Amino acid sequence: MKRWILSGAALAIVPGLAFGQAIYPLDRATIMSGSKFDFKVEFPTIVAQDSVEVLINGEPYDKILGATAEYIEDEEGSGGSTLLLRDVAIATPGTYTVEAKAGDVSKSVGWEVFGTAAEPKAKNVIFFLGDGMTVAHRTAARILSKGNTEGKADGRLALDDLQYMAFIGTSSQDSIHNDSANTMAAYMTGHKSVVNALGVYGSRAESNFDHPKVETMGEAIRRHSDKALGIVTNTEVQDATPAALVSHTVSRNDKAEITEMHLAVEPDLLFGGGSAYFLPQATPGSKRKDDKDMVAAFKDKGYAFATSATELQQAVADHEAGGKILGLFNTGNLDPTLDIRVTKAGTVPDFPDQPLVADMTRAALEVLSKDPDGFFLMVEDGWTDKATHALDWERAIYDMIALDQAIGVAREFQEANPDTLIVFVGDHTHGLSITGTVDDDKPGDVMREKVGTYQHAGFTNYTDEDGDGFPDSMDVSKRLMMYLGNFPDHYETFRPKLDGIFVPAVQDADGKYVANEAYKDVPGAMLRTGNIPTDINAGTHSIDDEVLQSSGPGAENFRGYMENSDVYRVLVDAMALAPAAN
Amino acid sequence: MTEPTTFDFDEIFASVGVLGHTFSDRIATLDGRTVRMRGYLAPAAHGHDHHDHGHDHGGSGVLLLTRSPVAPCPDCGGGHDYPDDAVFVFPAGAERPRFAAGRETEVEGVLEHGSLVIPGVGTSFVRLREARWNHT
Repeated sequence: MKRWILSGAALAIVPGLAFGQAIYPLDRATIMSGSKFDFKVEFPTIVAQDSVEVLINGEPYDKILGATAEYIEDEEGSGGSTLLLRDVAIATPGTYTVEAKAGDVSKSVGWEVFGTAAEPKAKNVIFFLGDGMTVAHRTAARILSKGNTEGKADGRLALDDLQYMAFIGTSSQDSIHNDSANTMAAYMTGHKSVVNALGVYGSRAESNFDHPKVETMGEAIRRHSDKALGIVTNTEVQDATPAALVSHTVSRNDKAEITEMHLAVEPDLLFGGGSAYFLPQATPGSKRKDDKDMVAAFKDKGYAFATSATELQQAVADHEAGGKILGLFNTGNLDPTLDIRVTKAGTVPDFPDQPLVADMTRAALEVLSKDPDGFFLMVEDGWTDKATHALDWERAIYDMIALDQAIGVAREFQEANPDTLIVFVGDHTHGLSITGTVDDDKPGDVMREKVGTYQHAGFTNYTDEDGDGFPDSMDVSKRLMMYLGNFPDHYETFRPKLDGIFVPAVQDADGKYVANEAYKDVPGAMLRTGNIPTDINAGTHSIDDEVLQSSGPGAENFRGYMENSDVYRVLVDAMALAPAAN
Repeated sequence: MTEPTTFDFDEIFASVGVLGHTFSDRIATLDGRTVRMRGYLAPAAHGHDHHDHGHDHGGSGVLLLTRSPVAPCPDCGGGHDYPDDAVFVFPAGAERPRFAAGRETEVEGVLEHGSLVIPGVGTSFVRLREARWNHT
């Protein structure tokens, strides 16, 4: 069978899937007309080729899909036969019923193939992804950045004036739960998938790269428009969120291959961390398992290259229309904004000139706005999630403010360019919530007794004397008190960790995570026994709906409850990537 | 018998950068010799496979020694779980190694440097072979 094999391909078994008869795309899939996808039918047993009948809207499938599928008698030793047809598309919008039969077994699924508006509503789309975003991240950022007096906010975040909202469902093909890969992939393909997957459905294929693919936003922009494409993150550029714009693998861990998938799509700009996966394996610092020099490969495609905020500014100043920029500012993730700006902890001593998300957004808009056909820009802040996992809400909220400042940059651009759609959404939530305040000046040594709720919470005493939007100090005497709803064993210290990101739990010799004793002797520290399995070292995502906020042409289509996979349709409709044939 | 040389995390790299790191002269000099390092031990493995269906991270017996306690980032995907100056520790003896989680430990072992992919675990830049420590 035709395979797409990349070096180091790991094999994946996708749990949670019942491998009965399956048809991909799945039942209730929504597919943009003209977009490419792989069609796959899996039978639970070995069936004779001549017993197989597959109809689409009552006609032989090959008449609708334009090609004949490969018949695989026993797919990779699964004991089941498969029909597989790669890279098909359906041009005509409508409802499609797919029936697959062989002997006694049969299955039927329905697809909706949709066209978009004939004319674009928005020339530009800026898609902000706050990883792990909850309502509490927004509220806490507003309190810390703007303050609150007598119950009214003393100022508004940039995101507070986004006009339209929707609740977003984040569940998966294989689970009511989710991760940052398949949730962002849903936004960026219009299809649900399994946890960890990017740009594929989870099937019974063995190789990570053989699962049935669906078109990504990056590919759609390239195939169906002349728009520029920008990808910006403060994580590794191979991390799940940025990867979702270009990648096809059932495992987000295939970072070396994801680097190559970025190159295949050739975004006009790619800013973030993760240079370790660009370096040939012999270079100390490389995380590749081959000798490819991906920085050289990008340069060969004409990319300018920047390794610091200063170099990025220069690359933008030197940029000419049509030029491309690769900005890699760390071997791994960029550091949390609190560490870059204040503590200098983490890898900041080694990478002292890392750009903030707002800096990268400003640079991206300056470059992309030169394209007369407009652009699609994705901007992620990943530390809103990674720090929340670490139960380090101070770093998460500080990055929430950093992300809001990037949204502010985009809102200024939108004011001057009203044909711009801005979307701001998280990929999944966390069980993060604001309880009240904690006041060091309350009597006694027991920190728990210093937590204020109801009228006893009062107000915090963060200040912003320099007016930069960030609190002057996170370690004030009357702080916000936030808790996570699920957590490993850890010591609650009731105060920010200014020496470096919180490591709540460490692994013992039996592989179980136990509370990190480094925090045991912090005055007032309290042991909290975890409420999730002991093989998990951090807070986990929650399944609560996301809240999406949006302004600009097309934003009115975000409303009520939507699946994350429905967001794609609003985006491509705004850009008219598949104008219906008249 | 001479005491093993003390070696510190700060002495691993002469420079660290986006385009790669440079090992120090000192680590090149000490390579193959027994050194003593202080840090925190942890299994060089993911604790939970919810993000990692495709990789076997368990049971390798390899440990990590880090300058401060670390835990894999749970939503980063595999491959970038540990700092680049994490030292991969190969215990002497076949016994499943015991150690005190989250407590600073002095480890002795034969120093080895250079990129090495350890299947199912990740890429290591520095290692201690035949490693021993007191477990109390």
